[in-house]
Amino acid sequence: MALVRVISSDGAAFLVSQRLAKRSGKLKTEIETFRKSSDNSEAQPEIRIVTIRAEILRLVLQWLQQHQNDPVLPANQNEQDGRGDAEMGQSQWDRDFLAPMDLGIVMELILAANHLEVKGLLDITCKLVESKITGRTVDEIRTAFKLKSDFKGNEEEQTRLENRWCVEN
Amino acid sequence: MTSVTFNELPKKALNLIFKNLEQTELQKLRVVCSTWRNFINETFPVELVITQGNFERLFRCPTAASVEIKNLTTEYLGDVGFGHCVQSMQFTGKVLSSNVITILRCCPELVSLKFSSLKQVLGIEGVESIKLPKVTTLEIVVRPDQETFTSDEIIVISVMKQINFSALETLLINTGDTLENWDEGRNNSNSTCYGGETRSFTISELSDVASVPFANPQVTTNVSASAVSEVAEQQPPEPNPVVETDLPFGNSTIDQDLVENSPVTLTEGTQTQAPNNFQVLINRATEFDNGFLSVRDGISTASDAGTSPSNTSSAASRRARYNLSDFEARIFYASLELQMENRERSTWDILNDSRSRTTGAESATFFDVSGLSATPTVNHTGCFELVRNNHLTLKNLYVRTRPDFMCFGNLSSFAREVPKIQFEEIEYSFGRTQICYEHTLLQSQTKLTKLRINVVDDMWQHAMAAIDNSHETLTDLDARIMNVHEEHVDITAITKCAKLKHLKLLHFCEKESLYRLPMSLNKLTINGPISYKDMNSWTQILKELQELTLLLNVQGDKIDLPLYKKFLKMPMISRMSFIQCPMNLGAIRQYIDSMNFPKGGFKFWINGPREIGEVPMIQYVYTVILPDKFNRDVIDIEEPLH
Repeated sequence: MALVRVISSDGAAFLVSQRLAKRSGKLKTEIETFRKSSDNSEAQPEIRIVTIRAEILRLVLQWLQQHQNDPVLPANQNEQDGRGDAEMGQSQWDRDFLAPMDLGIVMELILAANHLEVKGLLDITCKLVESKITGRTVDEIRTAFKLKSDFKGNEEEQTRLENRWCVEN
Repeated sequence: MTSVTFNELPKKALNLIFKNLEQTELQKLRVVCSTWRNFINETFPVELVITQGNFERLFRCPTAASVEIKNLTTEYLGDVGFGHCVQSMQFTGKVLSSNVITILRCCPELVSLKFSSLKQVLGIEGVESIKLPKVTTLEIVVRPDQETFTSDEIIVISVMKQINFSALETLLINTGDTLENWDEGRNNSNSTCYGGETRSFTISELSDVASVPFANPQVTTNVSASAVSEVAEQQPPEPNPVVETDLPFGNSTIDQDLVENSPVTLTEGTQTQAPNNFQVLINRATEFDNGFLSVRDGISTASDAGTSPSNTSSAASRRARYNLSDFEARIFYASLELQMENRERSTWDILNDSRSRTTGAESATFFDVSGLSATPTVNHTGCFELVRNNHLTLKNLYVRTRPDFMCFGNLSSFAREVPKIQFEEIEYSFGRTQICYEHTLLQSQTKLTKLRINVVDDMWQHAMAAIDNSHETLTDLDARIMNVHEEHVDITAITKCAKLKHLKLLHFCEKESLYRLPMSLNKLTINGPISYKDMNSWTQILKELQELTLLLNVQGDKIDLPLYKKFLKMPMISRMSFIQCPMNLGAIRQYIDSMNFPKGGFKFWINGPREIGEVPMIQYVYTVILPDKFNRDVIDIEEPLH
């Protein structure tokens, strides 16, 4: 079985099958680039991901492992049919996978999924964040996402005034 | 351990997170922080649909970017909250013209204004003049079920005449299509009717389709196997089918006589093994309705091209749907077109309309002035006043006229009044009986990029003048030339058009004058006698040609295998169609069969059975669509040229 060594930003190395790694658009490109530039067809590619730390990379690979037999969807699937993969069926495994994570980890997973071009993972993590927004008040959202109002002057008040048409029925 | 905050997420992720939220919820989220507000403002601008039930609330929205006002008949006199930000406005259904003025007066930032599917336009008295200084596009589009203007559109035109547009560039007044369809039809995945590139035939799919017996009309030429099965489920086998095709011929009724005598047999041969041939004998089409061509008595089960329609029964009781691609529709159109040569002009016009809708990429346009003259209660010059009022800024006027309507003279008169008006795109049709001054307008054009013309007699000279004057800008030329005397046929001007990408010349009658064509051509369609020398020269000079169609080249020279190979070897060629052209068919078919196209490319033969009926018909359509990675190196041209 052909393997590839994927190294996180903090130096942790993960040895995974190339078949699995190629489910990431980014890793697939890297592997193919390596193949083209390498004289030795048996050489094992080594890919350093400088933006993703080990804990997150492990989660991504874990998700890929679980979904290795899923059909690979085109990157613009959402634009094509107007719905995300998450809507098309989020498995119980996915729910259990995401459940213990705090929002900070989820944010990092989103960044990683986006960077590694793992569409399915990006979809379910974004869907999770969406669920944390829906139905909450502005203050609750600020608290949950550790955001502060950075409006200047009376901008916030002005924005609230602009929203009156949809706030008041 | 690093910490990532929400606002560090890439836009793609933010888009995924926000895109499923309701519009009002998104607006509420703008208060969270300025990053969210700016992102939502930019990515999810407010789009309002204002109706009788919600207008009091939605008129207070101060952030709407686009607004549709639908069936609002209550007079609105209050403030227009979105006035200073809305850029796109559309009125549909029932419209109160006083509302139009009230609302538009408050919208100085408006860029696009559209009226469509108008049902009832009320009130026109006392309309004040207002200014819309930033509007660049004005569209007035009639309901899909209307063939021409109603008094509603006329009233709107009258109201628009009162508006002071100072930046209007594009004026579109049509009878059924929108600007978007013309511009983007090729990319419109929802439509097979407007030239969307829906061709997704592969050989395997065709084989699947072809393997279905024709007695069982779940056969479809649609784009996918799933579509086939869907049709099959809906339509259990019964004898004596009626076939509907998705040919986009609009809402016109076509002469019974026209199609009764137009049997067309589509014979698909693939390089894979039998049973891969399929035939659809389309006979006795009855009507065009909602874009579907209904055809009776249409399916033959025989495998040879010469099957008699008597094999099919006439008691139609079942329907199958033929969802043809744009490409096939063109082929079918071409076949019908040939039937039309000596028939009435009215039917000819219908086909012209149909073709325009079929080939959405062409900048076809409807400007049905006939409705103006036919409506006694309106000022039939309204459109032209609208043009005249804006002649300093207008760049695109989408015009379609029927040759025999005298109000076309108004446009000519207007052209005399404002001879310097320049358009980028014109569709022009000259009737033989026209004695007006159309050529004044046409000849004065110097910046045309697209020109589509029907010309008769010596009007070709005036068209050539326009082409000559615009030779530096012209990219698309579609010319139908009828009854032009040979001495008047001169295509020198065309050869000067160095940017010409698409050229269509129909009814061309000069055999030796097409030796030189612009090297820039991507797409070439010619109907007329073409000499071997000319065709051979194209294979040398048209390095960028992607699509070639020769129609009705019955008096032209024969296309032999060496020439055909040279066509195939052209570096960019992807589609070639030869419709009723003299060809060394046996050798060519044998050669193509030997190429074993991989999945993605196919050949498409249409043979009209000559022995059926007495009416001349399309007899040969030979089309090859080359695979994406077609290896031209394998083409070996050894035989001596003609």
